[in-house]
Amino acid sequence: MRRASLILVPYLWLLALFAVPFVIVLKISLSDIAIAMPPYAPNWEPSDGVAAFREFLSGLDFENYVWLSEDALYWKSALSSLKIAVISTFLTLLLAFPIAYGIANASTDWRPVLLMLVILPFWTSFLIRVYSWMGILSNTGLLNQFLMWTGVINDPLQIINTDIAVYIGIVYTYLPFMILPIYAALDRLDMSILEAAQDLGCTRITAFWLVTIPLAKQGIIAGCFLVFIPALGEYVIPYLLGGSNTLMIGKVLMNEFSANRDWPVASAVAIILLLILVVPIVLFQRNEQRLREVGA
Amino acid sequence: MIQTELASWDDPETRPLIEFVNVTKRFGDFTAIDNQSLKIYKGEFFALLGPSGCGKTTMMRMLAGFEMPTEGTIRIDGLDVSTVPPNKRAVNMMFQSYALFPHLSVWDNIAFGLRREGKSGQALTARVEEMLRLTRMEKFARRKPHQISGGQRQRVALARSLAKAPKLLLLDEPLGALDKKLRQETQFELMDIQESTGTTFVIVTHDQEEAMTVASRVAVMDEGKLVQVATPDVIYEAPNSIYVADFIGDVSLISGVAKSRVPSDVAPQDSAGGQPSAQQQDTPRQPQPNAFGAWLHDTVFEPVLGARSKSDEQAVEPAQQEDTVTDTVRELPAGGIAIHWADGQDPIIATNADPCLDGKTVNFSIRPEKIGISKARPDALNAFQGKVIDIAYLGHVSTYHVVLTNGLKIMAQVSNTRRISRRSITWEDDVWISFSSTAGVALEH
Repeated sequence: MRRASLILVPYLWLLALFAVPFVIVLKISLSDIAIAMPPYAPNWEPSDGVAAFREFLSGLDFENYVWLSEDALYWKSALSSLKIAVISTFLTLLLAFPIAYGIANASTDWRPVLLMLVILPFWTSFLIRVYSWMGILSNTGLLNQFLMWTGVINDPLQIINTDIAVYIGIVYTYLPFMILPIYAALDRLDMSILEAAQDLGCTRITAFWLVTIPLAKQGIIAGCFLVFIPALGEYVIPYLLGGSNTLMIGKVLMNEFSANRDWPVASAVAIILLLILVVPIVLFQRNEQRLREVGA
Repeated sequence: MIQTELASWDDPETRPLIEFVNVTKRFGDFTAIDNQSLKIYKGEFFALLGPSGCGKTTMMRMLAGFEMPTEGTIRIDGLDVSTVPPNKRAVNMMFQSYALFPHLSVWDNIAFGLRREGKSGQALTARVEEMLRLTRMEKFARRKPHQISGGQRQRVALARSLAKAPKLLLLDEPLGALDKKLRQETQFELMDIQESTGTTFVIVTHDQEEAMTVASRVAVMDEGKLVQVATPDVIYEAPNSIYVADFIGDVSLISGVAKSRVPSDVAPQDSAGGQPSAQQQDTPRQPQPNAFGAWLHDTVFEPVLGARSKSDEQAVEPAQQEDTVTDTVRELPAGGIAIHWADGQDPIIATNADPCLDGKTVNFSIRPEKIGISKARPDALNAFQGKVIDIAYLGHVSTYHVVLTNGLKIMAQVSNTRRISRRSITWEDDVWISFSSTAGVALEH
């Protein structure tokens, strides 16, 4: 009984915060746009009765999904989002790994300070930090002024309103999410294992590839997911830093929802986004499970 | 130690495999190894023994190449290796934590070093299989390290470090994580493997029993210095310092002033207890059966031959009897020193000690098993009266803590050849402790 109630808590949590909103969004995505409040139809209230519910169900269809497949904008933005998310995840990894490695190998006095510095940016609003990147990257911004002052360039670089600015924004924002799990994995690593690798004939570099990387794998994978998933649906960064050419599915979704006030299509986009994310996660977990079974 | 051939460490002709020449290692202000020299020979099973922080691990890590000496030279097989990195040395190490690669199977762990050598295919498989057989791990080749027991992990670590057939194998507290029973078994396994592979082993341990069991020679270390380097029996029987005597096994220490004995010197002159009683002198010593003989008689022959005459049971154990017989006062051996350790007490006679200690304060160190204990005054050169204050019953032996008349505590150990219910000495008993004139050593420092 006690056990059952303990297990119940996370399930209730999931039900309230994931399943219920998901069903609502799914239902809206199957509805039609209506100039009303709420801006979609059909609707059903429990007071309407069972017959009305049947009528309500017959009013739902996949029209919006058909529409999404017909208009190239949607799959192009989905692809573009994927590309941006993959590349920025990779760039974040390249930057985060040395940082995590450095922190893990720092003296115990320094480690808490360095970890604090990694987390420190969260103390400021995310929006303010992205706005300040506008100030840094714009044509008259700090970066261009500095580069022109040193004489490296004569004309300002066009960074803001390009995909590059989006990459910079995503890498900057999600860097801590990559550093922390990799640090955790490296911190657990027993230094004598690296010494054993050297003792058995590895140079420092081969020991790194053959031992450190495989043992940090779990942290790297966790970090990549923590960056990739939010980056894929990112809206604020491409909206503020990217140009009109930067296509991202989050931006499209927001556009449908607020500018076009087309809640059903926006919901359909949200469902598609969710599917894009769920498929790799499920595949990844299956793979992990299989590996565990083979190992046992 | 009976050896027909000169041991390699005693033969000046033999070239050492490992040579530490005036090696000093400092970490900041801390001196881990203080200007030490040491030679280790091919085929030895050499133990570095000491408490934690004595520098034994530093010595080993310098051999492996993880630490470089601050001063001095380390030679392996005649070559100065002071600056050679670990991956370029024909030395492998078995780590205290085993340091198995958790992401690789047992098989791949053993193959790891061989693959770095560029070995592959048939040669690789053959060598790995050989190592698996040697350590009896064939059945577990496909398992990951977290799927096998501690003892099995220890064997994989050993197999992995032996796979490259190193000239020298270093073992850092290899059995520390095993329980006592398994540790003892593994000690003998290690010795077998060492013998069959002919590899030179250097083991680091803080466990003196382990060092004594496995090693051909032991180096006892303290605060960055090699205090004594010798075979286990020498370390035990003839420690060169109080530190070594105290670190290896149990010991009772009696401090006193040494006085050299001239050959004409006769037994302690006092009459009170110095001379054996007339009765004892006149009656020849009865031959006594040993434990097995007594048992044999009691269980088998008694019905046929009748009860044997039990003269008053001699509490001094057979091992001591030999000594005590030869050391009777009548045949007092000459030489050595007499140690005056307490007023009004007979001096301790140590005929094996150096007469040059004359006039110096020495510590007489004696092992508990070298001391006999009895209720009657025994016929021994060194015999002192005391009272039993504690008995530690360990099953196979009992250790009696005897406090002498001047308050000094002495340990005497007796093999429990008889059942405990027949033990004749118990708490608060007034007893005599006795030992031969060569049972202990006089140590100056």
